Amino acid sequence: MKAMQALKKGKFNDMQQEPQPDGSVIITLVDRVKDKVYKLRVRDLYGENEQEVDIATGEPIA
Amino acid sequence: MSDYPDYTSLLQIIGSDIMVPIDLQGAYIMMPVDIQAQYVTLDIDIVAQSVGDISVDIAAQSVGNITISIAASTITLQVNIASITGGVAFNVGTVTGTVNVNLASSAITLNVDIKAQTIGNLTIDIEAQSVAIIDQPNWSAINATDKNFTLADNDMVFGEESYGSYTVTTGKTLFICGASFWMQPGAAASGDLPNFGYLRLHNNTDNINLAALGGNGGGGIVFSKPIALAAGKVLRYVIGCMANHTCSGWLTVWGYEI
Repeated sequence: MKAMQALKKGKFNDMQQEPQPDGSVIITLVDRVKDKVYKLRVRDLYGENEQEVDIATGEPIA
Repeated sequence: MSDYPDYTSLLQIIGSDIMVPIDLQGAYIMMPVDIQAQYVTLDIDIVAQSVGDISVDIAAQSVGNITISIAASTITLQVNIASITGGVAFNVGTVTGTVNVNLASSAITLNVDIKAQTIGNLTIDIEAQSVAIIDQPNWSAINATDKNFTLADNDMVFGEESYGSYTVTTGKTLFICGASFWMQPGAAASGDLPNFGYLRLHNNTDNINLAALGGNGGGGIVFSKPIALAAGKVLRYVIGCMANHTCSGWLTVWGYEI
């Protein structure tokens, strides 16, 4: 959840996206101010049905 | 009462608690006062049409607060502060005026905040051993307000596009300074073949292409003028494979958001 907050509030310096075969994308965020790295997997990034999913399986987070 | 031949008098008072109201009215008064005590409360109220010189010499290990309020049509104020450490705050509010500041110190941090409707001439004469002027992109990297985006996609085939997205943060503007891409063959057998590809930067909110670049194996571009993208706009950075074999594609976009 902190990773999604960092993404939405722009609290990062570097963002890497790796598209996945199921259409989701694995995102790595680096915040150099706080020296933190966040990782999350999102379906329909910035879309109407945007949803954070399990980073390993791509399934919805229970 | 006359202690001296010139009719002046010596007043000497010794006591633990003394109150001496003095009301002097005369055409000319000379009254040297020498106070030596551990604690002194001294209230001085001078009302005069003109005051010649007031010299105050304070020598102490520590001075709490000295509050000076001067209201006059014209003021000449000379302040000479010599201190190893300390803070001095000046708040000058005038319609017109000249403030001369002369700072001599081994190390000084000087913050100047000027808010004015108009500023005529601002002359800055810097003599220092080193001065750095840093442009905004570099300063953003130092100040950690820069934004860098990368995209990695394996197994791209001819005609395939892959993209990443970013929505510009509320209240901020994204400035894109450059972009690059790299196409890598997916198999050793394709190593000696052309690896054509391209990158595109796209304002996905307004459906406007911002930049495009193609090449064999990759390429990069630095914008002489940063591309600005307003808050809420979606940047889509796209890499495309135009090779006739499988490739891995990498895309990097860099800039800053302020």
